Amino acid sequence: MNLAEQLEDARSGSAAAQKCLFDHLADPMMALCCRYVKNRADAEELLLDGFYKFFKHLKDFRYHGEAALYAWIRTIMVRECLMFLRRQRAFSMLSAEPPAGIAPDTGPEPEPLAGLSAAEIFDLIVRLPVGYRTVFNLYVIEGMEHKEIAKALGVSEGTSKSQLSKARALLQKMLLQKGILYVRRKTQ
Amino acid sequence: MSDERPNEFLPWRGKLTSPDSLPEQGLEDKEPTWQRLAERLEKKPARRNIAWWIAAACLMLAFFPATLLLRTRPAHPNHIARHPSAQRHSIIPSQSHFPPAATPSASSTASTQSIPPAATPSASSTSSTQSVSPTGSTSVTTLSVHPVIMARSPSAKPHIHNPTNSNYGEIAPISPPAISATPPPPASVPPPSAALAPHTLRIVYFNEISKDPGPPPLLASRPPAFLRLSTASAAELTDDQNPGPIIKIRISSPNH
Repeated sequence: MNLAEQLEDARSGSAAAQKCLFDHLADPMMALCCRYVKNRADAEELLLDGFYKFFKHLKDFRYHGEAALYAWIRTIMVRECLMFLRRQRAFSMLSAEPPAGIAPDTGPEPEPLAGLSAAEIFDLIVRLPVGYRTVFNLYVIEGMEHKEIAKALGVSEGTSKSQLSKARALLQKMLLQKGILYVRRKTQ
Repeated sequence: MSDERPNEFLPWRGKLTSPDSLPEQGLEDKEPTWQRLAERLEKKPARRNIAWWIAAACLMLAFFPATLLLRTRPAHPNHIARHPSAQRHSIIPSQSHFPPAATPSASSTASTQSIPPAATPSASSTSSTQSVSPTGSTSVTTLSVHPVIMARSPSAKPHIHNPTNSNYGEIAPISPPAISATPPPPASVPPPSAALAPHTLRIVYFNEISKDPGPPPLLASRPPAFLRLSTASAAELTDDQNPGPIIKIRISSPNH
């Protein structure tokens, strides 16, 4: 049974088809939730909430391919994570001040960090503070604009830019401290 | 601060968004998680609106007894009604016409009416007169004046005939009540609902009956002449017995 047939059966209420879809999508969506929320128990609750909404609104989804399905369920999960973070008031103390002690990015752009594995990237991102991590995830990974991020988080656009700049600076600092690929590539 | 997208991190997007990128971050055991999700999916969604319905029902239950209590509370004699319609009484239509002794005065209203116990005015505002009807039966005519009007000073002339001249709080009757000297129905027997319809009395003049243009103005304006009235018909009388004209008076109403 392919994905389209599974979706059709799940839309009609088949529990078996819904379980197949859940098994297929649970792992990447759990990783997504863990990228926003450090606590795995919270991430699992968000995963459940997201899948519940996914199955409840499945009748409104028009299947145009697997990529569209992934994009749709990722949007649902990201929204759930942002709602959770807003309930936790994770963004209430974010300021739009430029990062202290970190020089602005006036120099040449660093070389691509293509050598890092997904697990290493994941480990770097989850070590960021919640504000940096959320804005970095939304801007770099999800591809949202600062205006959309500001609206989603309930902060100003300047705050979103400031948080991204701080996240970039901190990531560079962490990479330098680790002395891995990023530094090695710059010295080449 | 640069608004440009940090291109050095763009390769991270493809690595993190691919479905099989982070298998170690997935669920350790999917079965219990799926069981929880299946339970939630099988459950009917909770209706949040039901709380509002319950609150509305509680408000209605609290509101209706209070309304009934306010409606049935006896009126204080000095209470000034704010709405004239609240003081309107149901008037029992008269069964006969006015006798000459029961002609109402300008400031009082003689009516035979059933007054609910809650709205019964004080004794100072109600006076009863007992008279003997021509048929020999005793009839009670209740002369009732509204307590608001009675509470005014005797010198003040109530404008009860013109609603536009009435003061605030004063009862301004819209239509003159039907007045009757017939005895009221016993309190134990309620009047039929059909009898509650107001009767419209109309005086039919003589010229309407005989289709004549009526007496000329000169005759109408001369001093009244007392003519002898007889119960005999005009055909039984001879010319010498009945030299004067015969006056026919018919009083009718739509219900007679």
